[in-house]
Amino acid sequence: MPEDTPKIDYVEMSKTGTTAEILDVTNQVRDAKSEATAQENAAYEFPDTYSAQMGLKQGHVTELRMFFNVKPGHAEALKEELLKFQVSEERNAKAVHLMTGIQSMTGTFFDNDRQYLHCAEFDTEWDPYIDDSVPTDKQRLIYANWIQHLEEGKDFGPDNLPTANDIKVFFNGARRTAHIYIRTFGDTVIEEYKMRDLKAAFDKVLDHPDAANALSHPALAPLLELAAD
Amino acid sequence: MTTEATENPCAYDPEKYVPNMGLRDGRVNEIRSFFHVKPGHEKAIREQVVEFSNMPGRRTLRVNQKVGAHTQVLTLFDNDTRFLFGVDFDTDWDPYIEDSVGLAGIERYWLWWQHLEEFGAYSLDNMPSMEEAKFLMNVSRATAIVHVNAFPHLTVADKAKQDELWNAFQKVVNDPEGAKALQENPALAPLLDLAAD
Repeated sequence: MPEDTPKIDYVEMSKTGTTAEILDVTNQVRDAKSEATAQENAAYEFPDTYSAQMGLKQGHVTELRMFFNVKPGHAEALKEELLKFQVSEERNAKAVHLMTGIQSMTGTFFDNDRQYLHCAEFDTEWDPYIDDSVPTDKQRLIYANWIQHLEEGKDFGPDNLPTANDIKVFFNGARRTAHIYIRTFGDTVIEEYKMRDLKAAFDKVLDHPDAANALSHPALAPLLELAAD
Repeated sequence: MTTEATENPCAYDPEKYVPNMGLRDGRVNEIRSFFHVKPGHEKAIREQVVEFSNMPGRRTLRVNQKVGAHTQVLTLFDNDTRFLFGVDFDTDWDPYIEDSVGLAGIERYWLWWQHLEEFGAYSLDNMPSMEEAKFLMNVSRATAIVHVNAFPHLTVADKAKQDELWNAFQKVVNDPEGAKALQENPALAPLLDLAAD
């Protein structure tokens, strides 16, 4: 990434304030880096077998299932790195959720720890999902730390960080599109955060001594009905 | 599927049943069951899971709220020799599977179970009981090492209420009288702030 690409610190961005304020910041960051990202993507030599269109979609949400082979003797080390990945600030900061649209992630070992299944659901498109997941070396290192324990990871690791495009190719090679995908709610993460903010605001209104009077206006009937629940 | 020694891990044994598998994040639990597709049954299982998933009501909020199902993903892998059953749900395992199988009927699940080696001891005339089915789903299950959800404390029922509130709020802000009413009482300030976003 060129030196003038903006620094991206998701943890700091998440401290900005409200959902709307964080979204403003994430949109500015995405706009600022879009040209550099587009150039990088255009210059990368993707293999002929690469497809950005894998995964079934429900509403706005796409599923991702990847089946890997664990390097012999590496299962325990891989588990340790995944546990660190799960709790990392870079994975859980609100700005990451808003930027990448990551809805869920699950990692499961099977066949006596010889294979590893990595699942995720996200509501952006594939390219921005990966580009925004690993925008700097900080995030790429977190990924490299667990990828290095997979046979498909080749020689990627802390001393040979994969780029975002390397990760796209690596992930797609192990990916299988689901045959059936059913999701009860297909909202985006952004929409869900707004809904959560709305609930918190509505609860504040209901706690106000003048709530009943305030909600009695005929135009607010849809909200008054829910207040009764 | 190879069978080690003389013990068949898929032979029903209630003593070996473990109901508490799955890694929970907040209120959301996960199941990932890994099956082997019977040789020659690859095309049939592809067709039958589609029929299974298209069961009337299967994709409705009413059914998903009853069983607490957030997502269900069915995937063939390893050149269609393996089948992954993956669900995220917010009830406990026993009520989840009892409600799911109970609502659909064992015959409906048999559509795809019949193509799996793990269900090889059973047939159309000798389908597994609920207890046997729960056992087989769990024998093939592996508990996740990591499980993270963006909103782990919301059940399907909570999300449905959230949706209702959202839709009600949109009605209000899209009504000129509603937008005006939000400005008229200071008690409504928290909602007015959001309407501005």
